[in-house]
Amino acid sequence: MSQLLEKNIIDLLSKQDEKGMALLYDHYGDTLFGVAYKITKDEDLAKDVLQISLMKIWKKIDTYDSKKSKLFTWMFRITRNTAIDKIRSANLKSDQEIQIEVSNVYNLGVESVVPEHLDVRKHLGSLDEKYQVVMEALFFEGMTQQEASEALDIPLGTIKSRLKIGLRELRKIYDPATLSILLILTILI
Amino acid sequence: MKNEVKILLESDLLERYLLGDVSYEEEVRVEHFIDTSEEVKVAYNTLEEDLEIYSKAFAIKAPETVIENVLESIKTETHLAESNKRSIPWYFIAACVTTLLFGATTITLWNQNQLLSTTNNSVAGQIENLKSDIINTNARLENIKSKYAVLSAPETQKYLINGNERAKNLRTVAYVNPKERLSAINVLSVPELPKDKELKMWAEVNGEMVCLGVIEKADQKLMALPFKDNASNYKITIDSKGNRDFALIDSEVASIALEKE
Repeated sequence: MSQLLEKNIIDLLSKQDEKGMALLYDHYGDTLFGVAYKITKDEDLAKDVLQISLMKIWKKIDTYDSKKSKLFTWMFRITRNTAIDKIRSANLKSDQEIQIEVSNVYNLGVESVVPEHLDVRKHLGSLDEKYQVVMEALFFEGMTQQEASEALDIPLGTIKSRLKIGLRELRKIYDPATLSILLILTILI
Repeated sequence: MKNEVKILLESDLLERYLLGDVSYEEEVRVEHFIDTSEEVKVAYNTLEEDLEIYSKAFAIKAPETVIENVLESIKTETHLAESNKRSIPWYFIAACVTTLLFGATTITLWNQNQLLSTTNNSVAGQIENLKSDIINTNARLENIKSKYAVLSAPETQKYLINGNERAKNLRTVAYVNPKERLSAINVLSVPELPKDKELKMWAEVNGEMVCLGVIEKADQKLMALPFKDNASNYKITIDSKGNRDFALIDSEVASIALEKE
C-alpha cells in the first residue's frame, strides 16, 4: 500500500470525512475482514468485529501516531483485539465450540476469497505446516511466543526461528520485485 | 547497547509490541530502541510489512453491508452532533452563562450593598451618639472648669460648716462668689438619718429662710447652690422630707454667718 494512499486516508479520517472510511474499506476492508474471520471463525461474528473495529478506527483516528506504526499495523491491532474480546466473552463460548467444528469446512467458499491474494494464499498453503502453525498461534490466537512454545510443545528458540523463516518465505513469495522476476522468467521460458 | 539490542531482538518483545501485547514499560523500552537503534528500527519495519503480507493472505471479500452500516452510523453520529450544535448554539450557552453570572453578581452586590448600608447607618448612629456624648462631656467639663475657676478665684469666700451635737458627723464646705453670683457646697460627711428625715440647706435672706435644696449623702462632690443676694446666714436643718417652706428653729444643726461684701 503506497504511503501516499495511507496518508490520504489518515488525512480524510482526521477531518472526519466519510470518503476516508470508504477509501479505507476499499483498500483494507478485505484484509481486516479476513483477520476477523480467521480469529472468530464465524462469518456473522467477523462482520460484527469488522464493523466495531471500523467505528473504533473512525473515532480514535486522533490517537493514531504515524511515527510509531503503519496504519495497517494500528488497524490490525484494533481488529485483532476486538475479535479476541468477542470470542473470549463467556456468552459466546458455547457457540464458539460449535463453530470450531464447522470451521474446518471453511464455509465461505472460494469465490469470496480476494483474487489478488490468491497467490499469497496458495503459497502460504505451500509453506510447511510447522511454520503456519506457529504464525497462526502468534498472530491470530493471541499467544505470546512463550505461550505458543508451551501450547505447541516446541522450544522457545524454535518458535522464534520458525516465525522468522515463515515470514521470510512469505516475503519471498509476495515481494513485488520477486513476483516480477518470476513473471519475466515465465514469459521467457 | 549492542548487547541490549541483541537481547531485545532475541526476545519476543518486538513481536508483542507489533501486536500491541505489551505493558506500558515495555512499550516505552521498545520505542526507545526503535528510536535509537537502526537495527531494531529495520527489524520492526520488516515485521510490520510481514504482518501486512501475512494478513493479506487471509483476505476475504468484505460484505458491502458492513461498510453501509458503518457509513450509516457515521452519518447518524454526525447528524446528532450537528443537531446538538444547532439546538444549543454556542452563543446561546454563552448568553445563558453571562446572564447567570450577571444575575449572581447583581444579587451578591445588592446583598453587600444592603449590608454596607446597614453598617453605615449603625456607624452614623454611633457617631451621632459619640458627638452628643462629646458635647455633653464638654459642657460638663466647661461647667466644672468654670466652677473650679470661680472657687479658686481670690474673691471667693470659703465657709466650713460643721454639725452641732445632733449632727456630729456633718462636715461641709460652702463657697460663695458674690462677684460672679455663684455658690456651691462640698459635702464631706453627713450623719446617719432616720428614713423620714433629710438634710436641707437654707439661706437667711432679709430675715426669711429660703430653702436652697436637699443635701445628699456625702460623696465628696461639689454641689451647686442657688445664689441668693443679701443672704446673711447659711443654715442646715434636719427635718421631715418634703418640707421646704420653713425651717424650724429646733431642727437646725449647723449655721454660719456670711461675710458682708
